[in-house]
Amino acid sequence: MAKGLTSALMRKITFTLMSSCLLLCAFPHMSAGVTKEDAATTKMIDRAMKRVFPSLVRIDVVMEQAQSGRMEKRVGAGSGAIIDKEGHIITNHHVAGKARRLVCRMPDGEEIEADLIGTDPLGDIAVLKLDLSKRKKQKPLPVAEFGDSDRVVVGDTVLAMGCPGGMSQSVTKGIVANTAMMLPRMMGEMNLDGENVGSLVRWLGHDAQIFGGNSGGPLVNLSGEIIGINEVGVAGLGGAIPGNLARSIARQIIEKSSVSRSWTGIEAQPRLKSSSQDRGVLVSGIINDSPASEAGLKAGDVILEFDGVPVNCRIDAELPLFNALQLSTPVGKKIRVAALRDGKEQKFEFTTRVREPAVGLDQELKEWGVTARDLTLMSALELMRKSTDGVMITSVQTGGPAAAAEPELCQRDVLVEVESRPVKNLAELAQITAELTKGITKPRPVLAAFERGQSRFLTVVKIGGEQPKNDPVISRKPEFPVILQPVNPDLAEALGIKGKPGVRIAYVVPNRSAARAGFKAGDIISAFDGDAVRADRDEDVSLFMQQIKRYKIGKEVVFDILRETKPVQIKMKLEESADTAEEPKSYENKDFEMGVRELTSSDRIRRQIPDTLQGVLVNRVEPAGWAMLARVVPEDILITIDGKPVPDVDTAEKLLKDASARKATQVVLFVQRGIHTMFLEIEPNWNGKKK
Amino acid sequence: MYRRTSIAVAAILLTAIQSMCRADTIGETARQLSAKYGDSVVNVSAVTKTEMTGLSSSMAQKAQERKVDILGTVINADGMIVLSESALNPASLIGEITNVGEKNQTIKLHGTASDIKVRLADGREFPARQIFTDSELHITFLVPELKEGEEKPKFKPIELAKSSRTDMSDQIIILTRGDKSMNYEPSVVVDRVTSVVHKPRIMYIPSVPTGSNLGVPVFSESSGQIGLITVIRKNSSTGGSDHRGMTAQAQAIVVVVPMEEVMDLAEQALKAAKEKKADQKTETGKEADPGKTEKK
Repeated sequence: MAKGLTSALMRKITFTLMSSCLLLCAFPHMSAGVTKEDAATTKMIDRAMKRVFPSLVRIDVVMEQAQSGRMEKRVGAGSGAIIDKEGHIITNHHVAGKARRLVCRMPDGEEIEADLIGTDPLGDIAVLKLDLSKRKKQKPLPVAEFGDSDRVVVGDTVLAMGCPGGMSQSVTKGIVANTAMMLPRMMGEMNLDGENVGSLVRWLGHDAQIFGGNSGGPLVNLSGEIIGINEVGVAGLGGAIPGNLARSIARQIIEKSSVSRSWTGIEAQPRLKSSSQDRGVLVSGIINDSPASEAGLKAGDVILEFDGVPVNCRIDAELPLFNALQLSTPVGKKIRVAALRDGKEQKFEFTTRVREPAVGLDQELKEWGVTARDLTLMSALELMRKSTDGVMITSVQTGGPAAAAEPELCQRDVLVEVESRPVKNLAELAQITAELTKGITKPRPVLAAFERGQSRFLTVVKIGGEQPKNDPVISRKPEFPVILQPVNPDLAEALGIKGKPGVRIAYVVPNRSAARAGFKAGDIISAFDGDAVRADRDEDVSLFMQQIKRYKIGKEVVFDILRETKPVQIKMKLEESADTAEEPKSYENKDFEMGVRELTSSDRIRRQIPDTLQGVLVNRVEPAGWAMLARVVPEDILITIDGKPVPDVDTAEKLLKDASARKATQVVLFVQRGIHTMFLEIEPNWNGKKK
Repeated sequence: MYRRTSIAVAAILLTAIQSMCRADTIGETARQLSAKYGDSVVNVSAVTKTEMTGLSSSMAQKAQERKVDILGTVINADGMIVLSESALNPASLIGEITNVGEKNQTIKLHGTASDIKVRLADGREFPARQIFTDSELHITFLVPELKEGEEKPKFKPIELAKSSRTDMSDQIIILTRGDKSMNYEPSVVVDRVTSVVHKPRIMYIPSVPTGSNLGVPVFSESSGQIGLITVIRKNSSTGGSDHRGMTAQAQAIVVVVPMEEVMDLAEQALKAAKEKKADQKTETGKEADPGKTEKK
């Protein structure tokens, strides 16, 4: 029962960044016969709209995620608001925190690229800065102001502004339903990059409709001030990070690109129901070697005062207040804690330390076929390690160098040494890897030491160089370049050849062996190489074609045919199938993440491409790569690149290499897809810069 | 009455004894074949990458990579191995699917194998690469990739020979090998031919269409070579000629391809291996552009 309830409730938790679904938002407008009260509210809504809506942006994100040994790109959309004249935008960490490329779209349709300035998974806040240098319009940016979220009360009218479903800017209206909304324990935690957001954030719950894409958008009061940043949907209510918390995080990020927080090592929980205490916070645990453990605090102590501030935690909703007090203490401050132990009050004193992120950032190590991250204090402790030295593997490419090693490297292994050189962090590993692989063309075996649990293993990983290609020769077969249909008894009778089975030629491919031998559409093949041909069904035609393929290329074969009911004999020398004979040249550009090959005569026949159309065939588009993000699809015929014709692969190679060399931020492809043509813009982000 | 019953009982006993003798005989033949050729059947592992093209960008999927553990048969002293292309690269069985979705898209499945490793019966493991593939019979060939100066393993090949004749309901002996869970021990399966396909070529259909025994040799009751097990596409009613733009759906059938067909392909594979070797020699010293590939 409990489980069923939990599942049902869990289904109701929806993180608002869900681009796969769409929701049409309705904004109720005035109708005839409105009351004075309605009219006043509408006036206030209009004023609030005027103050915030112009600063509302839709954020299109290309983000990266560690998976299968690669940083895989994917696209998403969220919302944000411009909060100062320099072009800083506040949004959620889960919208933009892992962005590789960010484009902000203003309500008037203007698109401006943005840089990620900093991000905070614990508060789920990220700050971007518009790249105003590329702005075509020079008019001042509209800026939204923050209000005081501490003054918000249940019942206040609020407006949720954002881009639901990745659509354009929209507004919905509701009231504040809860000023300290928490996830009930049975729903678990909202975890972002190892940080439990609910340990710090108590959401402003409201019933203004929000949906995937609203994330990062402002929750606005009727004075036209931001009082929250929308983040989640829980049980039918929207949840916004209180504006005061969001603003303080954003300010720190703008000032120093990160958020400074204190770490004490105290882990707390609400007092037990069985406890006789009527105040204080129960210590659930103390992290080893932390300031609190060195001061002697222990699990079971009940903290009464922290840095002179009385503290209390009776229920889950009160815990974020205690956590916020700890976290907001200046780093390096000497703290006094008063706590009850065995009924007696005791004093403890310690100095706080910098709180590191829960986990490091993932990075791809192509030469190893893995993604990995640095160890932080907490991630090292979670692995029962005393040191943060080493690099933790977070994903492994199937069949990549690390997976092919014996023993193979696995997720959560910590790489500590390469070729007898200690590896402290990712930067060192990247440096060592670059040195070991410089100038090599074949993979180089290197001795690597890694730790798995308490064991230290040695392995040999063949890193760098080009992995050998497996490109087998395809067997060559003869072809009969025609399209056939079976001549069933009904068709034979209708054609006036009753009782004469065979296959009918529906089309003869021009300029190929069958056409040269004199076959014509309408001919009926009654015998092949002396054997009668009988084909009543499609599969008989397929069988006939397979029989021809059994012959040697170059062999002369005889066909008995009926042409307008008269018997004719045609001799034909079997030629190699164009599929294997043409060997189309190909080229792949790794910067734009796409490949092309020459159009073959088979392509032209199958797609009915006229000889006058010059181009190359797109034969590869890396999933979630730059070309795919530009909506290039395999089978497109590439006609021009940046306006220059592409008659062959050599030209395509040259033009794409030129674009790579000049690090073009936009490359325009003109392609044909079926009967349609279109221009597609590839917009790569060079040097891995977060934009 | 009593006499008739005695005769019947005697007849049943005689049949049973004959049957037991026969079972013993085929068992003995299977053991002998395993002793003689068991080491020719080797374990092969590889990573197969399957890419799907033709989908619109919103539906595009990343390439799927997975490890496969399959079997192959060593066919010469240089370590050339024949195996089922469908086992190594399952995408080859499907090829393309037409008329998908409202826009009648054509989806193509393209598969490649990498990190191919061969494990011999003595436990020695070495890398290998595909040298030749026949897309009709779904049979492919590997050659070892030994390091320069590395000692060549002692291969125990099956010398391919012309197929013995077999017919419906005949017993056949399949030489196979277990995987890691069976400590790679040799194994035999005694089966029967359920059908003989005559067009477009002779093929035998085993009664147990197990996909785990692909790439292994099949023998007759009298120890003659019959063929190699693989999976091919079924002839489907939508399977038209080359230029119809329609191909078979994912319908497959386990078959025994006669050994002379395998021999014919092996000849082509040997030629391809020689040409590739010659190409490599010519290429030695040249810096290849990794982004550039030409289909050979």
